[in-house]
Amino acid sequence: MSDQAEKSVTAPEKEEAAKTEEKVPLYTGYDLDYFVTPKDLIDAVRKLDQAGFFLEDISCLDMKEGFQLVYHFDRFDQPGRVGLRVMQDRENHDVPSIHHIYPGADWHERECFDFFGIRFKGHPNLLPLLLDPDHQGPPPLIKDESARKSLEELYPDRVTTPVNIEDEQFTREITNCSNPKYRNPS
Amino acid sequence: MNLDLRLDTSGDFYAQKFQPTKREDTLILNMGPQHPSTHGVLRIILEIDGEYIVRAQPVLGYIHRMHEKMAEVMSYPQYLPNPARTDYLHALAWGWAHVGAVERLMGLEVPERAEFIRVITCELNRINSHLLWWGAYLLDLGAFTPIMYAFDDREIIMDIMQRVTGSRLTYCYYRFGGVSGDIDDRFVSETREQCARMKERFKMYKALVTENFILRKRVEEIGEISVDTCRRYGATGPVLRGSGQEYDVRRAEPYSVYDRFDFNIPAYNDCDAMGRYLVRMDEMQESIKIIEQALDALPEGDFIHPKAPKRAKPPAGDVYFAVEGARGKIGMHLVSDGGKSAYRLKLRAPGFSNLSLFGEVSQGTLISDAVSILGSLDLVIPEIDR
Amino acid sequence: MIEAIPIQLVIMLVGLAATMAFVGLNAIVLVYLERKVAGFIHRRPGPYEVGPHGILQPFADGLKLVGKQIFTPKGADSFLYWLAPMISMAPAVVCFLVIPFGPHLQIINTNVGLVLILAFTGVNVLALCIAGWTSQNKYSLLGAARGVSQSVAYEIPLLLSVLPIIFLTGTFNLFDIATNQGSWPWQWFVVTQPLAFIIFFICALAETNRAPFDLPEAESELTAGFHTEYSGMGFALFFLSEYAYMVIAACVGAILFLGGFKGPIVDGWWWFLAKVYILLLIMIWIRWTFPRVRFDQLLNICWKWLIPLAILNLLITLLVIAL
Repeated sequence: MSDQAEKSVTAPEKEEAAKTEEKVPLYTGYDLDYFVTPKDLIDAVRKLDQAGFFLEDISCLDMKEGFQLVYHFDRFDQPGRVGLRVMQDRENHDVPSIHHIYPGADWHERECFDFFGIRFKGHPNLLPLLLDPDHQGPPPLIKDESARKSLEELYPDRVTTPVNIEDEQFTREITNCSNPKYRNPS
Repeated sequence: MNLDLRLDTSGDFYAQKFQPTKREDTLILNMGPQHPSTHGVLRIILEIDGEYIVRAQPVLGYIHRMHEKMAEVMSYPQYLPNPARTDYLHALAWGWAHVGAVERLMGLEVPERAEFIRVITCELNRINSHLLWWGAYLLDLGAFTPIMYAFDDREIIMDIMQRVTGSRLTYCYYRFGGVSGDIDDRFVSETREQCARMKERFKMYKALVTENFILRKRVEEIGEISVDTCRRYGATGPVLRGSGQEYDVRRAEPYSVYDRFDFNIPAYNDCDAMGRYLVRMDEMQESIKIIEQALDALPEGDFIHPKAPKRAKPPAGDVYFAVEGARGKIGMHLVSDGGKSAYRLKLRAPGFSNLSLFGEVSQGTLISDAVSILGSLDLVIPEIDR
Repeated sequence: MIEAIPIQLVIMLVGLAATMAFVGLNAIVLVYLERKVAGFIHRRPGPYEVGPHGILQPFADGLKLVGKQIFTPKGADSFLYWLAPMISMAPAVVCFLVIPFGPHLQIINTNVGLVLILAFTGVNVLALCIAGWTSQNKYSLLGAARGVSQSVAYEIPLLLSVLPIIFLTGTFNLFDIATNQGSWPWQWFVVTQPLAFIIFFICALAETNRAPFDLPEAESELTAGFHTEYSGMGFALFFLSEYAYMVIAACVGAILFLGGFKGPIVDGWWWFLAKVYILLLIMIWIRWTFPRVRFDQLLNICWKWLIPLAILNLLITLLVIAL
């Protein structure tokens, strides 16, 4: 019954949303968004570091294919957000820690370890950060088997193949990355 | 009597992991979670040599409530009050980040009047937050009186806000597509009055406090943080601007109607606690400038989108939305699977990143300076622990 | 001869009882005064609920402190731990014996009065040290370490600022020092020795651990410093002795620099009390106005400014006397 009621409520909204979608490009907050392989991550982050980005945070998702780590980077002088997405197998974690490039990543990685149990390779101090050290049971943000969604369901029309970071184009893109709405005051 | 405190192994998990280094004559000191200057339940384990800090390690999680899990089990409207509970001092900015992320994912438009109301209330809230920081920081430095003056001003702002939002601290005012209630003439006139009053008060604060000789000695050249340190740790907000980098989300990723107002981004090149202090003092005045411009240009119209859904149900996809909070960049990474509640909501707390550089900056400082540095970072622990 | 001894003893005992009462009474007045002045500076009413205008507030505070559990930390040396507040309080009472409150109001008129006061107030450091050491708490220990180095450092400029007065009057007798000054303000030593008075006042603030020099008990850094672990009457005794030392400092300041009981028209204890309370009010005023200094700054003020200035002042005074 509730399903019925909801459908009737959301039907006009969907139309509304569809209309606005046509008018303005959908806001995602990302100026650049890449999938990278775990072994390329360090190199990609190094390139971002050289381009003057700072690490905003590391977000993580539990999905059918495993874990998806999302690294958000932004820049002070020429704002523009870059997202790096790394897919992780559920059992074997081979994502490297980036704390030696961004010391601020230390705590973000510990948080991911807390909430998802992801073991970052080479992290010096992978202790619980926000949770009780005596916490029993699975990490709190792990989803039930039935609740997990796949990449296609969450990102309906997205290319999810990892980008080749050796490519010149990748370097060029992140160097020129900028938020179109940002206006330089000077 | 066991006088060799270095051999004390009775500590908890984190104290045991924090083993003393090979250096002689050092002492492990546990500062917090019940310590007057850690503002709540922050805990810092210090290794000290006399009064000099050799090593410092913050321990978090004492007020961790797992807001991110709550977002996954509560529907979007049910989650509306939650962000205010993370950073209780700048509750509206957090509410805005959440509401804004959902709106953007849904492609929901906000009426212009609602945007102006949001700007006005958010900036009033920012002034409140900075005022409390100002009082509490001076309390940390041993001056008791300023907090009373700050509360004098806060009280008026809270009264103004209470009439429109219904609460005094943990506001839940913003809705998907607008705000929960319209503002009236009394709100406008009272806000104008308060703006005029605050301008006079800032002059007094400057003469009474900022120019005090002892205060200057306690904050100048203390806790110097370079822009590069900020970058490596992801520190934003007044901490970054106190290091001379003009970075403000209101300018960098203009949201709402902020691009229509004329305001400066205060930045000081000193990189020290005084720089951060002055940035916040200036920011309050800039906020007043914004509020006055917004009140002058306040358009008529709806305070909430007439077709705003009662039950938000954004389509599948993900969005990252950031706003400028009193402590820095508040980010929300929202992933939706098209359901009634978020598939994943990641909160980026500015204090989290700002605090993470404390371990590096506090090395070699005195305990008194560490207190000064901690205060200048403007920490709100519930926001850091979430 | 035999009859004379009991009379001396009786005077001593009555005097001690009287000074105890005076210390207690002063503490009550000062607690109320401090809270009311703080309220005035903060633009709030201050204590208002207990009695008319909150006048009974100090009694309520006292009652609360008496009723609290006496608590000894685990692993502390309980004998020394409880001895510390008594060591802190006892010398304060003795100091009042030699203070001339009025022309005929002095319990013991001795020619080493000033030396006695300076010596006995120094004992307070010992109490601080014992309290911090035996509390078995790292904050207490740090507070005690701060307290000792602060007190030791500030003893020197304190003595140096008192010396010019002694050279001018040629006596340690507090009564004689007071009578050496005239009745009118321009005849007091504060006019001839303004620098000594300022140095004395700063040192007095530091010696009594008052803000902005309240580093041994800096609550935002060391929770409560050396008396972190004390509860109930142990804390109350430290509290009481802090106020007692404040009063002593103000008394000595009033006698040495402000003419003691001498005043316009009629000399008497009323002038003395007025001067003491003006000095106390200034101390309270300073506490609620300034932030706390840092520890190295505190010692820098002492070693780099106060001591050289005090020595300079002393030399100039000696030169003037010699000429």
